[in-house]
Amino acid sequence: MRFISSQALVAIVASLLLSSVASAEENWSDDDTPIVPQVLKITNLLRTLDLSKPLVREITSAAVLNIVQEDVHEYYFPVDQAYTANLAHISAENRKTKEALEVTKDPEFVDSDFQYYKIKLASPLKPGEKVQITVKTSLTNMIRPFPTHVGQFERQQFVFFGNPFALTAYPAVKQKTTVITPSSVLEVHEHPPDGEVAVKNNQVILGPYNDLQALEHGIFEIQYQLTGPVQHIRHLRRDVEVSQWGSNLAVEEHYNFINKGAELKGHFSRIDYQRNPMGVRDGNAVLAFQTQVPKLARDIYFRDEIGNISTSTLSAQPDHVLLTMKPRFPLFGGWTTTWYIGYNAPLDGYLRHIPNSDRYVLKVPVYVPMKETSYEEVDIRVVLPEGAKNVKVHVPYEVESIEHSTTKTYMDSVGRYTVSIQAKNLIEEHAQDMLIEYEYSSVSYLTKPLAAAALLMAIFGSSMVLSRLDFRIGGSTLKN
Amino acid sequence: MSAETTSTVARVLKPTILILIAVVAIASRLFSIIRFESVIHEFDPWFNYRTTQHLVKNGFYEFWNWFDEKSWYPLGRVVGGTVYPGIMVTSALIHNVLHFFNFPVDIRNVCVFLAPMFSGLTAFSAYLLTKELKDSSAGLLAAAFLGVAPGYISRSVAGSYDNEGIAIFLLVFTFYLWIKAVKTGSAFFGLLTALFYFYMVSAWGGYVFITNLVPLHVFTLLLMGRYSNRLYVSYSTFYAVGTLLSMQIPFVGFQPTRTSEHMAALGVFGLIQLFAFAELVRGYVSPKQFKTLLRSGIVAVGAVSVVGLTLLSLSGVIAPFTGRFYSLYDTGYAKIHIPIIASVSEHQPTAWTSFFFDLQMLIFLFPAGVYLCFKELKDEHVFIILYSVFASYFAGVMVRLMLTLTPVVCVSAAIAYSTLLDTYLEKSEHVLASNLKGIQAQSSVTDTPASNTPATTTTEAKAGGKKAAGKGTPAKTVTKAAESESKTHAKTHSDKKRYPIFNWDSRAMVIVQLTWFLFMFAWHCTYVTSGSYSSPSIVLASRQADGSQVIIDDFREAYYWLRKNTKEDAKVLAWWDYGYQMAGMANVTTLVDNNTWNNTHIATVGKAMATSEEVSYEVLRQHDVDYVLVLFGGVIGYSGDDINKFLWMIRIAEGVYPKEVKEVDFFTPRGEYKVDHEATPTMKNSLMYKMSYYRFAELYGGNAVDHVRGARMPAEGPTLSVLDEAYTTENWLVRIYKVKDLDILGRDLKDATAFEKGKVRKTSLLKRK
Repeated sequence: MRFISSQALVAIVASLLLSSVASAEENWSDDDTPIVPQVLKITNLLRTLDLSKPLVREITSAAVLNIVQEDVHEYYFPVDQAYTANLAHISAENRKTKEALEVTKDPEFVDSDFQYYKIKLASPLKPGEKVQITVKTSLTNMIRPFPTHVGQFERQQFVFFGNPFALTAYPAVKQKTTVITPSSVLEVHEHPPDGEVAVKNNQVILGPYNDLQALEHGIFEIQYQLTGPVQHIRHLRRDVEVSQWGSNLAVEEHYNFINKGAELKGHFSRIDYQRNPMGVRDGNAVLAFQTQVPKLARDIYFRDEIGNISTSTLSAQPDHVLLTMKPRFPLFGGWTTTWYIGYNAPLDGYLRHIPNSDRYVLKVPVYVPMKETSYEEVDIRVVLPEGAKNVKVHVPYEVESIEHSTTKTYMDSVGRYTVSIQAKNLIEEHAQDMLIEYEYSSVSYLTKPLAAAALLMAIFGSSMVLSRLDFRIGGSTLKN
Repeated sequence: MSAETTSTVARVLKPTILILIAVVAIASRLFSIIRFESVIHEFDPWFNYRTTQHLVKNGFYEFWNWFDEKSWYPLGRVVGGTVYPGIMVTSALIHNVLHFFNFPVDIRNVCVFLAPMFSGLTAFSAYLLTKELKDSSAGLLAAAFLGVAPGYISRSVAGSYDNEGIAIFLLVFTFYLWIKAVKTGSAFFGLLTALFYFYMVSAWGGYVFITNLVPLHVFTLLLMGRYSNRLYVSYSTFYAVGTLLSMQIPFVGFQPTRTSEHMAALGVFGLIQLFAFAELVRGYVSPKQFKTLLRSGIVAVGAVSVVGLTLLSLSGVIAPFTGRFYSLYDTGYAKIHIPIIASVSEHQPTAWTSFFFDLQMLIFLFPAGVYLCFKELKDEHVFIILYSVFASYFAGVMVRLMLTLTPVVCVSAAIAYSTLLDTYLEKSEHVLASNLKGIQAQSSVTDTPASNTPATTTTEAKAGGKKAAGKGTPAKTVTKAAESESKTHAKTHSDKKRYPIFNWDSRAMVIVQLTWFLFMFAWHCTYVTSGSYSSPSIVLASRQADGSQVIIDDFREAYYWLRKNTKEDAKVLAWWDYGYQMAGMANVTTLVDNNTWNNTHIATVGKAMATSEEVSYEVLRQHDVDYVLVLFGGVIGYSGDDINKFLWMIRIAEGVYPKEVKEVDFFTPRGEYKVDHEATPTMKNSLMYKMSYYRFAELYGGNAVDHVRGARMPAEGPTLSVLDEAYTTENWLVRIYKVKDLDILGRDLKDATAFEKGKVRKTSLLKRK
């Protein structure tokens, strides 16, 4: 571990700044050239790596200079192929104007090592001009507990391996990485160890580095303490059922949970737990989950495969109801459980009728995430009323697949139009609304009562026929 | 009101009342759902639920051939061949029909609501049965009684998904069909009886009651000299078809021809053939010759059957009565010979109070009803008398057989009650006069001589009518008319012997009192149902000092922990009571469960619990046990815990391992069963004691009191060296222990634990320095 005083740090940074300007051009080599057009140069880059939560968030702010003689329209952001599965969310904005920029996964610029994300600049960058772009990425499953097992009341530690340099598609004149951890840093190593590492309370400053090539790679390792669970939903199934007849939106969510924190050493001891209720906060057990349900939700339930779980509480918040779900047992590291919740809500808040047409627009959240929780697989099923057709689905971000099918449920004759959406690796940032537009004629309103009437008629008709049949042996003469 | 409007009103009222009765019957069984949730109760229902899930998921063929390797490890269980599949097939059928019509009802809800739904049907069949015995107003009363009688509710509340839930309906309906068959002599009703008997066989082991009661009825009628072609047709149809059908259930198999329980039915079948033959012969020979023939015939047949039966029993072709059956004769039998049966609380003899508790006013109306049956004494009344005598006996022997008594009590009480009402609510003298006129008119038409007992007159008239119809003589129409006349005036007929009361004051006194009884009955039934029979027993509810309800959900907490956080094929050893629940809720492999088919295996589990750590560790290793689960109620005062059941474990284990487990060693010299510092060394060293009280003393800083047994525990609690505490629930109700692996250095686990403890002490000393 290296401890460098702040004065020394300032001195080093200053000297590096001076030297970097001179050597910028010479460091260029052709070995590892990015496949994207080299039309830009990064003059200064600040990267913040936030490890204070189980989900790793990285903010890269780059000052970009156009070095060619024509306008540049996009900026490319590389992501190591090894981490594409971990990348849950990416967004970009103009640092000055805070204007969000469109980010797309580029199908052209991709090789075995890197996937490039195309960030469309708000306005074309004229030759010689500069712009500051901030790219925010959220990564899941990046940290691993070390030691792998901790006791019931022991604080767990995590290890993070990463690149000390910000990965860029363009050469950078100057860059610096700040790593933020929740509490004091235990240990930092950098390979090769020639870089600058400064540790200050819960911050580690790597760099500044001067005149780095594009796609510069290195490795650093940090061990730090992070209390609390690492909440991970292995699978979430969310069913949304729209009933225009009952003006009701029924929501049911099935969770499959695992605590990815350090596993429990030995076994759980109830007596220690009861005698030291505060101590458990140092450990990584989940005692309760919190989620939001709509303000007007009714019939809220919290169950699992073997029945109702009685330990849930509701508390009204200004714009929603906070549902606190206490699982049957505290969930220590490595422990799993499943549960499901559901409720009914009035449809008015979610459905809009497009005037002078048969079309309706349904606006519902894609899903309602819990805080600091990663969702590995999410299946969303939206069941539209029977008779809905010409369905258009708009999901605000890229998902694995959107499928269309039919579901048959209570009193259905032809089945209900169902939209199934599969998504992977979602986090809080994905809590956005999706839009589903469909056509539902007023005639369709009548199908249900007609079907019910037909069924009752069939029952009465068959009972009429049956009651008139005579099964007696010996004919009807016996009746007299 | 004219007679016609009355009958029209009655035609509308009857179905309405019946529907309302069904609604009340269903509604009064829903207490537990409203209070708790839609969940399967108790122990056995969990097995039925699990098999139903299997059936729904994998289809009938897979269910029929299901070998369940998750129970009775390592033996396994052939489920398809060892269950009464009736209830599972019924719910799967309902489930599939609903799903076919796009009603995606969860199978759990089908199972939970099955028993209440069937109780509605039971009430309806009670109506039908009583209508055959008296009239429809008695029928309505019987339906109402049976709908809410606690004796039946005890086994059919929502969530009590057990065989009895549908079996009582089948029992009553089969009896109704049987009476109908005997009355009409129709092969159609005989066949229906056989079909419902088959359904009953597929649903409950209690079918043996029908198997014996119906032949007994026939036999009694034969003894009373009431042989008739009706009886012959109905019994022959019923027995032939019913027996063949019942043999299709793998669990029953060849029992109807090979066990003593079924021999009575076979014997009566033979007897009635002989009777029929004798009747036939009688028509062709002179009375004198017939007498000789009959005498020699009886002697010959009697000798042959006695010798045959003895030989077959001795050679083992016919199995002797089973232990469970013996325990019905001698209540002390089970305790000595089969402790496993005696250890079940529902197999204990009934306390007299529970008759009143379960049946309230019906219990004193019941004998009156039986007396009224004696007064009538038609064929069907003989049946009710026999049913009440035998059911009363069985209900006195075993608590759970209260269930078979309840229907007949309701039926006879309804007869008694409605007779009282008939007597005290007779409309007016005017009606009586018109009735008398009717009787006179009738006697002028019928040429049958007036008899003292109107009952026999009717039957004879009917029999005569049948004969005439068969021959097709001109007399046919006349007799037919007479018969129908006697039918419509059946009521008026009996009026001849009734003495209606017309004083308004005596009327009022009796009627008000009877009504008051009805109110009390309804109140009592609701009270008992809500208080005693509506607890799901997997969730406990208690009240805090401020009156707020606390739900104790430790069982599910432990089971769900096992389900989610142990490896897929974890084997869990626990006492057999929890086997079904563990399989259903925790989805783990169990060693023993509530299907107590292998006494040795259960005794082995008892031995593991009752012996010292070293001995039981061997048992645990031999059976690949991963976890051991015990119930401990000492913290919250739950009296049904394992320490209280421990004596039964010891007794059962002693039966098989008399050298290793001795009951006397668990009692103090003064003969007391103690768990505190007076506990015997054997007790203190037993695995059960150690698991129950492990670290219990620490909970109260050395002043622990076991709230169940009111015992102050020693400050130094037991130590464990072959097990690790794996999980204890919030209220300590369920404690789960992990069986340690063998020591990696090959040491004895006791030494290893001691060494590790010593090491810990040493390091802590070092740290302090």
